[in-house]
Amino acid sequence: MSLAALWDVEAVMGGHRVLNGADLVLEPGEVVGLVGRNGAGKTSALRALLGLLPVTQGVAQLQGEDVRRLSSRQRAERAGYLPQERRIAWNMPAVEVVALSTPFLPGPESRRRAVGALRDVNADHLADRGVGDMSGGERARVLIARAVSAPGPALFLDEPIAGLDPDAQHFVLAHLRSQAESGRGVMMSLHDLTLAALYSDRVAVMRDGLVISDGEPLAALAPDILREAFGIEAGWMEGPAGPLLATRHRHQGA
Amino acid sequence: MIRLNLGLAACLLVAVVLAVAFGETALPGRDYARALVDPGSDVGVVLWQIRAPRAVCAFVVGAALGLSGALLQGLLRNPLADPGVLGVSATAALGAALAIVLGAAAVPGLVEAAALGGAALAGVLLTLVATRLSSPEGLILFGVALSSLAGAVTALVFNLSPSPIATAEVMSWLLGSVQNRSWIDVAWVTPALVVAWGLAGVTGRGLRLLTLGEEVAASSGVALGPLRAMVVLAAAVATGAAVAVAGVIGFVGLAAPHLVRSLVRGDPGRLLAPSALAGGLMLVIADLLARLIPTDQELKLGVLTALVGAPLFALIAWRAAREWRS
Repeated sequence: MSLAALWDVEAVMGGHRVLNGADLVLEPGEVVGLVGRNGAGKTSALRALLGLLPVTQGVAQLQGEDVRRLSSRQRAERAGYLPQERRIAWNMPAVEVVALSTPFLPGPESRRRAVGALRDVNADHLADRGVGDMSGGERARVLIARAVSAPGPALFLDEPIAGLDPDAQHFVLAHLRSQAESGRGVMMSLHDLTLAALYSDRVAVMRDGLVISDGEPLAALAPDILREAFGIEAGWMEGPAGPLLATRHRHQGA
Repeated sequence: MIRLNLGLAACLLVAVVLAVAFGETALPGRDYARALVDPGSDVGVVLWQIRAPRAVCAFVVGAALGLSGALLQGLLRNPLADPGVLGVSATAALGAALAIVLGAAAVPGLVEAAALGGAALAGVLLTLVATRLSSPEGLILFGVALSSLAGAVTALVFNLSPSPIATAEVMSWLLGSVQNRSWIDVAWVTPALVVAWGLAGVTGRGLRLLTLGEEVAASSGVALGPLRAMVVLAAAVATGAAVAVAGVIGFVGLAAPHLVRSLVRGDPGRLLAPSALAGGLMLVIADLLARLIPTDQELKLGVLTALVGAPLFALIAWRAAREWRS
């Protein structure tokens, strides 16, 4: 059974149609990269899957059940989320922030898991530091650890590598891959198409609230799709560490 | 955590004992012994019927305001939220001012009920707005507008009031004080605090999750609608009762959470009890100061807290603005 799915979903936000018949599926053990222009509907798709964005048509499912019929607690048991908003309101220690991923476990158990999750992202030395006193990169690691240590088998991450240096980007994506290898399903929105191709089992390309291409990365990101979805002229070449995208703007040059 | 609360409670006990022991009238040592043995004696009456209920009243009112502040700051994820800023105090004051001018002071409990009604109205309005606005900043702006409006209508009540006596009464009440409060007042405000505490008790986990924003809270198993309603209701009940008994006392709700926040390492769920205790402690000490500072007219508690609180507010705003920029 798939971990999460959108079937022909439409959704409206602020009088604007943000999803326009989107179809998406997340299976256990896979990493799905969600790409598209700003405003193409990536965040909306993730929020609809989590039940945070009400759908006006079609159905959003978590483990085969309509999210509308699940309580917020049941949703939390099926899927974790890293939203784009990264503000942490209070200067809490990192370990307490990560422990927020399991609010229904007893405190000591929850903190023990949190320390483990911090260790997995090489941040156990930050456990007792206040998140308000950290650098952006350190805080990002703490938030990734929080999202990944959520109990649900599905993980939705909205631009997990935004604002990170290249080393940290690879680290985070490799960490998410390892989660998929242990049987979870990971769906993440990304702007870096090369990294999306490198780390995803499948890429879904969105445009105007619709998934226009979905499949094996290089096929889903074929030049004609990239032209349609992003307005760029691009082609894949063989790089030293895998496929590499060469791009130029369509109005540029010949 | 438990140590912190015990420590605050111990400080509080000392403060209350001091507040009962010291006052305008200095007493020789043997009088204290007499008051303990014979509560009906002159000194006993001063200690047990005048000073003690006043100190306890200051504590309960301060605790109610400290609790409200911690609840609202947690809900709105903003260190500048408090019942004063959000208009709950002003609306409660408007209710009481209306009741006094309309002559309701003759009926015991009516002014208090009007204050509570005003706070409840503010609570309902804030909840309605909170469920329709996704941004906490929007709710704060609404609260500021509500506060101004309630203040303007209160001024209108003054303006149109036919009786200067009623006007003076409203004025003195608006300044905020626990002077001449009796055990009856204590009995009035305490159950409200208990109810508010009961409601607040179940919001800790939700407030903690809100640290990471509403999307994370909602996707971690928090039902946001009921949480918002519970927090605003608890804050309205506590603030309404506090205003009903002591008038408008500003800035305690703002300062109390701020003073203890670093001691619970920012955790908004664990902040509630220490913030209530700190609010109570602050007000007991402030009231003792108000009594001991030798002025012709006794300083009103609300005036004193505003004099100390307003600069503190500016300081918090300054720090918060710098944090958000970085």
